[in-house]
Amino acid sequence: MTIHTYTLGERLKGVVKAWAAVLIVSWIGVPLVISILYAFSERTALYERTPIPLSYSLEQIRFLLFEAGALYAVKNSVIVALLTVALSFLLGLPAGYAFAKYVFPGRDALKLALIGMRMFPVMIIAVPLVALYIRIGLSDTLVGVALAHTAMALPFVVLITSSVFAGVPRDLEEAGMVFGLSPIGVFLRITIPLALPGLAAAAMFTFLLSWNEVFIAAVLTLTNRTLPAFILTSALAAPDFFKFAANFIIVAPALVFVFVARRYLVTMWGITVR
Amino acid sequence: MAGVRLEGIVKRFGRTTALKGINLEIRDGEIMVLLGPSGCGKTTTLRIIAGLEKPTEGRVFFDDREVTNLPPKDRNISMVFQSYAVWPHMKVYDNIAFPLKIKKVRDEEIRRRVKWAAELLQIEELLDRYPHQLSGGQRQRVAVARAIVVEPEVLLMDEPLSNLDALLRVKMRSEIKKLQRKVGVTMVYVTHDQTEAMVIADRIAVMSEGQIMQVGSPQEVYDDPANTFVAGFIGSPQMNLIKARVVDGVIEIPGYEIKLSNQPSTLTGGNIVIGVRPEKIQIGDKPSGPHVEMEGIIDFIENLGADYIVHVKVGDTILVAKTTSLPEHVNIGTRTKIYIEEKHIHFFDSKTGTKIKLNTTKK
Repeated sequence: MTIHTYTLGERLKGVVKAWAAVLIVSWIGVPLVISILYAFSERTALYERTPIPLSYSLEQIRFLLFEAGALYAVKNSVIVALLTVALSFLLGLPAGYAFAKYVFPGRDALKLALIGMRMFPVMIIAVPLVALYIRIGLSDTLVGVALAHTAMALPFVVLITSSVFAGVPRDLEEAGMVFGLSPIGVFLRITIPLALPGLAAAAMFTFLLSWNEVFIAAVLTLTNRTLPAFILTSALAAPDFFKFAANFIIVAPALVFVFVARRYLVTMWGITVR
Repeated sequence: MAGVRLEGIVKRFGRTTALKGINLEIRDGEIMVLLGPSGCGKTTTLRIIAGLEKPTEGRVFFDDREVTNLPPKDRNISMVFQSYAVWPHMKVYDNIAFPLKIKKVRDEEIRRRVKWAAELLQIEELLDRYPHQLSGGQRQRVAVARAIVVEPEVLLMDEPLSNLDALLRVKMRSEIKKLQRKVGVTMVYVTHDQTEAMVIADRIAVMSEGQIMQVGSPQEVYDDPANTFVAGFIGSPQMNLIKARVVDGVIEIPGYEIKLSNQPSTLTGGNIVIGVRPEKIQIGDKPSGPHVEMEGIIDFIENLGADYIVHVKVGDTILVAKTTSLPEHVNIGTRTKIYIEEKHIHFFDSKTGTKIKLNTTKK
């Protein structure tokens, strides 16, 4: 066995790489950590001249969740996000599959139209949408918000799932057909399991998209606020220490999701299907 | 087990015609190899037998049962894919057992059959692994095990060895043939490798540009090629194919004239192509039967260890000869006599490329 000795150049490269990594992580990590620390600090700690708070309390979070109504908004957000995932997958998954596996007239035009849909500014759609919702009785309902979020997420879901499905080799599906499966059987027992890591990632992104969406949610709801809409209208008008607490409440689930998704994507069968 | 019959199969993809009328009868229990260069339609033919592709015209029969419009799952076939197509989300055991599970075979029977197939392919110790933990050769064995475990009527193989390294390929081709003999299944095997085809096939169908050029046993296709395409595709090194003219019973090749001792009357005159296999050209030793004698200069010698490939310039034409031994005096630049037995000379029509049948009595 030989022992590898590092040359100066290699060592320098390693040092530069390490510092670059530290810099990038700090860029996102430092503000995140500080804001989370202040979410758990005493109210007065915010106004003391220390780099991090020295006295801690759960008071702000407790107050926001249980007295100001954030818990109710969290529940609403979860319902809306889950509904959005369900609806956009119900509609988008078959479309994504069709784009990936079949060649049909107008395929490219449709794909382009999907991307084109993303060009409409939400602000312009919002007002007519409210008018429409009031007329059909969807205004201030969670289903209404979920439908609007579905419309926003759908192009994304179709495009992502189509590339996920395109990553499932045709041979594996044909083997399923040869060995006794119907086309639906192939889809359920071969394609879906193989596409699952990619689909799961798409689902989580869709969830977060809905979870973070503030504008439509704020316009369409009044009493049934989702979390971002609630924070926008209530907590941001409150003193600073509430802003940090609100920030934590909205960031925490996203962080958990990202960590879960990461592990899930890497360890699933040890293979990478896009 | 079943025989397969293809009747007038035409397949068009948009404007290109992949198959231009395939008629082929595959006998019950034989290994039929579809051989041809890439793009000749051999894989499309296989996929039509599988039901993965529908023919534009024509019909497919398994024995007397028409299957043209049946989906693959109702044909009782199985297939080994070029990429093996072993499902990565299932362990080896589940891969092999999957076709049986779908057919709702009893658990006990599944276990017995999987064990049988795994033993046959010597992969018993791999049953508990995932495909990504296997080598290419092992994955290939899993694919074959999965294909035979269902006891199909027809076993289809689409270039199953092309992703293996050279040594393993040579080993597996004889194993596949032995396996087919043990199981007795009708097999259709697609390859572009003529050596592989010769070793595995009971009969070979040589294909080119969507058509079948010739069907016959490996020996027939080798000894008696139906046209210049088959003649050139089978055999290594390639058969010498030389443009020639027949004038008054003399065959003229560029810069040289050959006289046959026994002029066939079907060779009347005009342009032809003559074909001679390199291994049928003798350097130094005179054959006893009727033969053609030519004189040329040694242009180049390739030493392959066991054989020599000798390029001989006769007139303006280079003939390639293959021999196991060389006379001592022979070297690059030396003048030498070469001999070809007349029965080993093939004559082809220069326009159509088809073989000109000779009416002389065969020796």
